[in-house]
Amino acid sequence: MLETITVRVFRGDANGGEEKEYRVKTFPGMVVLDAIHQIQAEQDSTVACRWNCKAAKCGSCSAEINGKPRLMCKSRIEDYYGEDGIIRVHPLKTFPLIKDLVTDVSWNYKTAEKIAPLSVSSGVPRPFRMQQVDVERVQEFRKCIECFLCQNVCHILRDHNRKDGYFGPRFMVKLASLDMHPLDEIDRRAQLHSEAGVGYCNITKCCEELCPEHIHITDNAIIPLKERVADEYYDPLKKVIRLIFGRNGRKMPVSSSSKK
Amino acid sequence: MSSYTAQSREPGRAPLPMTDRQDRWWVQPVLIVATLVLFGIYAGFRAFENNFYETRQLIESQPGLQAAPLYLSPFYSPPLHHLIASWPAALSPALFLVIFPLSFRGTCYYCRKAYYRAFFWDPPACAVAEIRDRARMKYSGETTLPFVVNNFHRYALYLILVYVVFHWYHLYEAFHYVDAAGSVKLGYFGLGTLIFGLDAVLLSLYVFSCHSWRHLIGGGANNFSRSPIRLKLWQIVTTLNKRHGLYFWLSLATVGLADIYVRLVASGIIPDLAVRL
Ligand code: SF4
Ligand code: SF4
Ligand code: FES
Repeated sequence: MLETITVRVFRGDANGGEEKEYRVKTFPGMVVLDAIHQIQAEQDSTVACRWNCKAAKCGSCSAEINGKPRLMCKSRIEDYYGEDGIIRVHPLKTFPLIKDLVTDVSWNYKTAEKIAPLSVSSGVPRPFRMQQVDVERVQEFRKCIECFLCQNVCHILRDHNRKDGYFGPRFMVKLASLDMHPLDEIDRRAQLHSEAGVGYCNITKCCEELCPEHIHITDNAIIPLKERVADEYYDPLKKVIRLIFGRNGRKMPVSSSSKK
Repeated sequence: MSSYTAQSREPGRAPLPMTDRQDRWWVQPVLIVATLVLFGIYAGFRAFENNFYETRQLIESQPGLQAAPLYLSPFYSPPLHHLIASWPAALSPALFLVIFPLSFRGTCYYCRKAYYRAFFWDPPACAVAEIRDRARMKYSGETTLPFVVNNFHRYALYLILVYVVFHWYHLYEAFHYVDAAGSVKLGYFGLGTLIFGLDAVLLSLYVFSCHSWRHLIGGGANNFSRSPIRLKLWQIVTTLNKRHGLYFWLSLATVGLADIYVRLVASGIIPDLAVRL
């Protein structure tokens, strides 16, 4: 392990900026967030960064380390500095820059508001009782820490800037957690097919590859949602079956899964 | 060290250079393009060749041969030229048969990822920018033509199931041979039989790890506790599904290998290595 490394931090705001170089002393187990903290404490207190837990659980410290979207608090420095001992730390690129490493991710919160919460009719006895096998799938999605790294890397938002057409992988995870919920009574497919824009995703899996919570965003959320949307909108055979036999209650009446 | 101005596409965002990644992100797209293009060229050549796809006729063309295996190249399966008596000899059945595996693979969720990245650079790799001018175009993903057809993947799946059955049938046939008197007998095991076995297994793994299959078999349900059989099936497919991409490549390789082997034997370049009972 090198004793000192060079950290190049992006310094700037909405009008532009540049990398600034800092020399940082290392210690065993050091993560990139430690390096930023050391710079703040010893060299330049004006470096802006957002963090809270330093335990990869709050999702605040998202940044791009050597061009890879990562949580700074979960990234050991020795995984990033090469032979030249340089680490480059930039802000997320998909959201408006406030200052240095801090971006304005509020678009995500506005998007979240468009998703109706879990809705269970008042007739269902509280507290809900569900079988473990029925909620298992949804539990994976609930690990999300809203770091928005997946939103940042998704090329639809990042390169094409189609925030008008696609909610982004984080909210596909959210919608999957609701649509697959055994008690949720809303059929989410119409929203998925229209304003949420699941059809925009071309399953290139960058979101899944970097999710710090290892949620299988594409395999377990987006692709199954695409299949559910296909049932409704891209399957003439199913359409015919529905015409003949009726809808057959895709969203089931709720009580029976709490039988035992 | 670089300095940046705010980028134009969305005011106030951090600069978006081609990429800050320093690793060799381009290796994977290059490998994928190379492999698929090579496979495409070979498959195209074989489809147009319309020859050396069967080995049973060797018993007539090679005097002194004691046994000819019953191999049929997977590119020429199902054997339309046998099933349809009036199939014109000059027309290569492979040209028609290729449509179905091609549409299955072409709409396969794994393969989509591979070609969107490697061929369309959409994106070339994660956190690597797309070609500037195209990136500005209105992106519509899989909501408009041509890529909207990928939503019909399940229909390609239904059709490919027929092929899977035939691949197992060809494996069964590969345990047979034609003897000098021209009659078909069971009790043959050649290198081809082994390759056909690999091919049947890997093709089945590829098809039955399909995402649409996973949805069909149980993924559409929200109440697994009510349908324990669907749950069990879905769990099995889920396990297979984790390696879907791997099976895509392995089954592509064995299908190609099976054809190459049949061609080598059928054209008399090599004799089949085999034991007979
Ligand atoms: S798989 Fe879909 S949601 Fe995930 S990064 Fe790619 S395009 Fe975006
Ligand atoms: S799905 Fe994963 S990458 Fe996306 S916001 Fe949640 S934890 Fe972060
Ligand atoms: S500081 Fe909480 S996730 Fe990094």
